[in-house]
Amino acid sequence: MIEARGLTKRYGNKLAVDQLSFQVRPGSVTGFLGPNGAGKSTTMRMILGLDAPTGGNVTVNGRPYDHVQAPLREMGALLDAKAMHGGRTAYNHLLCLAQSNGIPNRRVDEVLAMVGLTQVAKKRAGGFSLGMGQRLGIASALLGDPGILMFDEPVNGLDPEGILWIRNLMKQLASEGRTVFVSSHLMSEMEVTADHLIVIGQGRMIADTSMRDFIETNSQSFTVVRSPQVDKLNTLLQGKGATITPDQAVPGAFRVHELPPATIGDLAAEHGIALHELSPRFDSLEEVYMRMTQHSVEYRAGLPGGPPPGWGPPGMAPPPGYPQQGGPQFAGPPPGLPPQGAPGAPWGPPAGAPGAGAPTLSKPQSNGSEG
Amino acid sequence: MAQNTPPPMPQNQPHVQNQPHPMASARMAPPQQAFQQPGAQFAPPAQQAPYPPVQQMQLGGQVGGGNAGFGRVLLSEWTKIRTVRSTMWTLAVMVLLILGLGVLLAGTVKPDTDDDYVSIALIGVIIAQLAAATLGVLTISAEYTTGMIRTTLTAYPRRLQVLVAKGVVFAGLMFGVGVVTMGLTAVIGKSMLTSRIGESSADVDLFRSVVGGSLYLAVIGLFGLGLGVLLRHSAGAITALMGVILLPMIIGPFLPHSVGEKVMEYSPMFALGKLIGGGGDDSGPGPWPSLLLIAAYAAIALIAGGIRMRSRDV
Repeated sequence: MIEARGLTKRYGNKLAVDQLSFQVRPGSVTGFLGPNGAGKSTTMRMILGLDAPTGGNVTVNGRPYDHVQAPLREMGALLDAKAMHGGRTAYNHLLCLAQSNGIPNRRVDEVLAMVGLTQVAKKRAGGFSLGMGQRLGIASALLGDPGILMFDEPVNGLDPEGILWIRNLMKQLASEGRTVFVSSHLMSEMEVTADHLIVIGQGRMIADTSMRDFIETNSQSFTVVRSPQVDKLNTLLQGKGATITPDQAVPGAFRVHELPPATIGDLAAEHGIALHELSPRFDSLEEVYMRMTQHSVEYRAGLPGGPPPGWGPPGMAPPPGYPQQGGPQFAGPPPGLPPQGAPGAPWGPPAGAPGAGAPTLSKPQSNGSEG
Repeated sequence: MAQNTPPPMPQNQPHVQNQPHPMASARMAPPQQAFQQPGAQFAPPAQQAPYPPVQQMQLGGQVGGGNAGFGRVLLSEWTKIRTVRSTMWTLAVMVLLILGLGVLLAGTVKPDTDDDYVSIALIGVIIAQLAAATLGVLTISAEYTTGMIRTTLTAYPRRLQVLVAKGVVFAGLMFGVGVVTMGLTAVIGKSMLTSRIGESSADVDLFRSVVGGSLYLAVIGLFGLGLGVLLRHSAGAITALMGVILLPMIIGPFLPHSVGEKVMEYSPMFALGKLIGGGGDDSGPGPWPSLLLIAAYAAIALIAGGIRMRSRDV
């Protein structure tokens, strides 16, 4: 169990982490999401006691990390796969870490075998590929057979095989009842790995909820419809209160909002309208996340070619119902996001947060008791 | 009506959770096959090793033992210092300089019979101290420049204990190598000179030369360690230390006499000269007080470095 209370880090006059309170619980993979520069790594460094918090505190199994007697036995961490002396062999690198925690030498061989590095154990770590360096880092995290594991961007730069391997490893670790805390800015990765999500932007908590609730609560659903009698259908649907937008992905298709697929199908059947497609869609986690964090992206790519897909071009109108914000400056939690903290994650929107009570993205509070 | 979601994106696909891609599982599943790809490993520069199948991993294990403690940090730091090449190279250079220069001089120079033969044999220490100082800096600065310090402090978060363990291990290594090398050099050099020139009438204090000289190597290295943790930068700390060692003897003679004399008498080089055999020269502090003075310099650097290490983010 990792527990942060009002964790704050200030560098000069820049607030990197702002009043974060959360718990990371055993038995599940907790994803730690945020755009680059959101404060994920800083938070993780504070958990490990590498950086001292400006305010608040964070404990590992109830104690500050530097009060833990044999840290490797309680928590294994991989922050930076390159944080090792490249001139030392993989075996010796792990050996010196094991010795500092009184872990027997044979455990070094064990973890090397676990991550598939036995054959290169006597090679200098400086010559390792990125994937092998990452696995050596994971081996060091596993050295003490800890109940808590923490990985900072573990799949960055890995090939598909390595990504898959790490994904399965994290699930395996969580299925054994361990606490797994993994940061990423890759939505697609979190979507298939994490059970629980902690989302931050510009150092502030945006959401702390189960993955399912996160998508259900924040996702917008719509139905893609194709029909040869599109005008007639659209008139009927609009009569029922639907909003209709053209689907740019599929020529001739339309997106119907605010009407369930069954109603659309029934209506079409009633009036003898042929349907060529009727498919319900939900936003992917990626889209939800983009929407939630687009106001807290610190470094926008100011490329003439435009921002990356999905990164809400500045001129683009906001999604229906999504409140317009004045500028890129983030102030308060993104509007429309209910404080859906899991129990024990008490955070409140700073006073005077703009856009409070904005529609659509906030649905009635889900129970949020996943864990 | 504006588009409400970002343009084309493969979306809404049902995600097949918890199931590896069939292709991938085919690659990962049979371990024997995966491990026996000839030529797949050891392909320089980036070596490759296959991923083991996660499903068959036994992640737990016997980790036995008890808590972390200072003895374990010492052991860990000993492993660290002996498993990098820079240590071995530096020690080799030190030994070669002391022994090589000693034997070379003992076989060539023609001193008077009232000269201290041991101090002639140990002349190489004056240059070898630069290697010791460099190694002292590298012992800590290499951790900062490689990022290893973050891994070290994650495994053992008590920072001052880590610094002290480094100091103890390093000083012990320097002293041990120093005593053996300098003892051997002193004995060989003295016997060579005695057989070539004849018995010396000078007072020879083998203990002061060998043990004092070895302590000096440890102390000047600790000075380097202190500067290394203070500056966290190899080149900067090495340069600073070389300045402290070499500059007083270079600029001393150009300063006003009273100042220049003090600058030279309180310098590391002066202390080393006294220790390995400036017995006949009565100017300035004696050999042991000089050594204590340099130890005080090292202590100041280490304390300042320790305070910085404790308070700063890594």
